[in-house]
Amino acid sequence: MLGALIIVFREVFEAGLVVGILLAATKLVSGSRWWIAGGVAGGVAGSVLLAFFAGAVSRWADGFGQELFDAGVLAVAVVMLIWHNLWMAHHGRELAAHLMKAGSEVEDGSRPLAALAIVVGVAVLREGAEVALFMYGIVLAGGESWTSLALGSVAGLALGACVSALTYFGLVKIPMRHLFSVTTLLITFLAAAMASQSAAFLEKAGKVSWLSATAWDTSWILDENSMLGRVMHTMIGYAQRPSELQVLVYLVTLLAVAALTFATARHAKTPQAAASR
Amino acid sequence: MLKWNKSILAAATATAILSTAAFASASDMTTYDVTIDGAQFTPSELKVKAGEPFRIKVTNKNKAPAEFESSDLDVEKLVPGTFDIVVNVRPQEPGKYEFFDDFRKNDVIGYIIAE
Repeated sequence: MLGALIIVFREVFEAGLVVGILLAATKLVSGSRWWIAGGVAGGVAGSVLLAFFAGAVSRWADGFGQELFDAGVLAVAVVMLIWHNLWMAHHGRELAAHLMKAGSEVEDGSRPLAALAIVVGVAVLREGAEVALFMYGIVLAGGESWTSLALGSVAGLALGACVSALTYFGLVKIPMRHLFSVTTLLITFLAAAMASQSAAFLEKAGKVSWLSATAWDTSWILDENSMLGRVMHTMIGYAQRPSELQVLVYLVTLLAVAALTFATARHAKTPQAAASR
Repeated sequence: MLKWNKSILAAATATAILSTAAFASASDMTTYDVTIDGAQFTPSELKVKAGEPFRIKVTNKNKAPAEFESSDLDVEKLVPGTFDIVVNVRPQEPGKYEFFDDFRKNDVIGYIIAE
């Protein structure tokens, strides 16, 4: 039972963190919880489908369909995160003003919410297919251990939800006027992390051989598979043995998103932009 | 408003494409075979050439799915039941590296010896 719990928990851990961060980022935007829940539900449904067609997906692209699929959905998630950040940079001021005045939920937020629902879906989908296949294996094996393994898996899923809750409640303790700056920063790192992981999958698929040398090995300082290693992997994109390409993609994304967000925030401050809305 | 949203999306897409700019390449690598049958890998020790990229073809003879994984080699890939997959592995320094079925992490283990 403990084994099943650990396997499932490890897989849902990353998705749990992402969900927690995005819930906090969209706090006080009306309907955000529904969008995020929709993203989770979509991700779960997608996971089951993906597990079912795992063989077919694997056969694509000369046997590297899994890797290309991962690279693709991660790239989509990166675009959505950047979009959300820029939207927030543009509307952050009005949002803050509205919150000061009314203290109520903001209505106009559906566009980045759809983007974030997609990010949540991707986060769930990526690890969810593994959980689905693992649990399918348990069902297939049957026998005495069946109930105990199933219980362990469910407990693992519940713990993943706890990670979301802890992340969320930790973040919303931050005073409201700083919360959006903090979540924008977190999302910038999340985007860079996902972009570099997307690049890593292209390398694993053998589609990119450029800058493939290992940039460094820090596994002796922080093991990527340890608890802290996993947190850092998800939140800032820590990799213990990244390729040079991964490092480059990470830095380019980080700097580009930061620059775009900054420029958009400045643009939003001009009176014309406020009037044109 | 709509126009602004479109330009944001365009900027976001451009950033993502730029940052994952890819160059396709074909590869002629040595492929080593490993089979998962019951609760073990055959062979459980694989000798590979150090300093060269290589491929491992993993055949799962069980009905239950497996996940071929190695933290040492930075490899992680699902292997559906009665199915086979291939993974690319980066050049490795001489040494001994562990791989395992992540769904049965402590029981199903094998090693790669790079020489």
